Amino acid sequence: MNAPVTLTALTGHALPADALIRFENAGKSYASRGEAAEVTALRNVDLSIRTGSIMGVIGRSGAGKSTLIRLVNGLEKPTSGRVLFDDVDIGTLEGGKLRQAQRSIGMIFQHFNLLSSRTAFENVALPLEIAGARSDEIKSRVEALLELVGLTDKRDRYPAELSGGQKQRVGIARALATKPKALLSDEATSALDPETTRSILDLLGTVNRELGVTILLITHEMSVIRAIADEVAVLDAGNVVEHGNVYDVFTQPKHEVTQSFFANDAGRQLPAWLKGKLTPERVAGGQTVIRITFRGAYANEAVLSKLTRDLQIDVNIISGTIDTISGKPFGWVIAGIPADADVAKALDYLTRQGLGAEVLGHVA
Amino acid sequence: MSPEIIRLIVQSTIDTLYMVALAVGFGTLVGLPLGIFLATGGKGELLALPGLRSALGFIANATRSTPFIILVVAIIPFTRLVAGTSIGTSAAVVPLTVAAIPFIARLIEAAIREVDHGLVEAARAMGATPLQIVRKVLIPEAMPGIVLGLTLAIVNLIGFSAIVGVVGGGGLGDLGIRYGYQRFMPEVMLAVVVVLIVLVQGVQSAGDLLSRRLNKRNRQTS
Repeated sequence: MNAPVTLTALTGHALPADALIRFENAGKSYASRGEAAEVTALRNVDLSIRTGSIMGVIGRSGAGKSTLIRLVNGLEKPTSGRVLFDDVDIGTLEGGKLRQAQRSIGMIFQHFNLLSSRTAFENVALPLEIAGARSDEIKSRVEALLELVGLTDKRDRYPAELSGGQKQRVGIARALATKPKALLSDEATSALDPETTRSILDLLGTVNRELGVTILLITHEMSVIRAIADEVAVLDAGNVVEHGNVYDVFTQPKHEVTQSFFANDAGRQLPAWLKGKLTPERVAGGQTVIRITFRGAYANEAVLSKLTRDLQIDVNIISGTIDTISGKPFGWVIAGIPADADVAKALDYLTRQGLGAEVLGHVA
Repeated sequence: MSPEIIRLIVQSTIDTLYMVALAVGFGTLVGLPLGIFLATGGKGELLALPGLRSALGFIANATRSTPFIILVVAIIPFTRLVAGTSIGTSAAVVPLTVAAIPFIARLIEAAIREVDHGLVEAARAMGATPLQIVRKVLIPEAMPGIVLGLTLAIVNLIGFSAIVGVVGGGGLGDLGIRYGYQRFMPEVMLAVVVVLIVLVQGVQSAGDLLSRRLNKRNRQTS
């Protein structure tokens, strides 16, 4: 539709680095009722979302995610800085010009926001009716969209007769009705079970790849970002505290807020039972606890068995994750090695293999 | 009961239905847009004209707080202006309509406010004009509530219509007072009450049924 399928297929997501959506020092504060001070929802946000890419914004509730996404389609206006969509300053548009721009930005919602009085077909038709499309155009377009989201057989069902996943599919079809360049996803999978979430994310991926629609999604779940996003921005108290491609942020989270999103991943943090027992001094006859970080190609090597073979150091794996993000392997292993082993040599060996290695402490 | 009395009851029923139907019709004509405006004219809302909204809200409240019997008498000059006379069944439609407008407006306001705000946001995100949002989102989504509100308005106006006998309004209430009470004919009083009960029951059942038909929210997942 907007970007040819083949181009996206050839270049992956690395389309020319032109940004479809650009936050330039954008901020938003609200006058708070009864108080002199303003409430600041967003502060000095600089963010670019490349045409054809998927950007995930993660943050806890109240971090300013909703405000951020609403600045893009003009549902809210920035109080400082500006937000550009397709090189147009959305915040300055009014009336018909704003509505015209809004038609090139689709949006899906956590609670779907489908009209209960309209069938699936009629819900998808709504944006087209609003845009003043002819009824034969509406019919063919809506039918194509329902087919795209796999709901052709549900066209005459009301939302109350559909499951959560089906409702979100209707939501996606509706958001795509006016052939938008971008799709904004406001916690679109937060009300869905994991399996349905997976299928909705797959659908969003298809929309991105095959229709070339740029996606900006906000979520509080890292698993969503990881499943679909190319880039991630971490939002905390109205500030973008970390931003980068998903692989880098996932494998080397710098900000503590980012790290806290991974707190439950095995291998990232010490298991609770071990945390209390760790001491900074070496314990004779005990173990030294180390964390080994695997990134990129090295995650495929049989490093731990080599460590045992080459250095005769036994490795006791305590906790760990080896996984793939954006098609590249990564992982962490927390392991114990005998306290009387040559720890420095082991760390040196691991580092030479291209892994990250650090001592976390000692345990009896 | 003599055929004469039965004829009177039939005529009074027709008068009541005539007054209520016209009052509800005109009342909705004005009350619907007024109710929509009351629901959407507040600060930061869709039509955002808070000054006008406050003024209209005040007028609506003032009208509603005036006891109907006083309203009927107080607006006699206005009634004469509109209906050409201040006496009779047709003239009685004027105070009934004046009372119906704010009542219906408030019921419709409540029904519109029940519509999930997320739907308005979704429509705004699609680039809908405020008028399109009202027409394509708010009214259809509020329809089950609007029907229930209008049902309540009809039932209430049937009650109000009994009072317009003081300006020669006719109808069932008037018949009950003049024959049942003043001429001491308890069987007429009883007949009037029975007809009113049947009317109100019929209106309420029809309203409930229609509202349920229109409500697609609670359908079973199949």
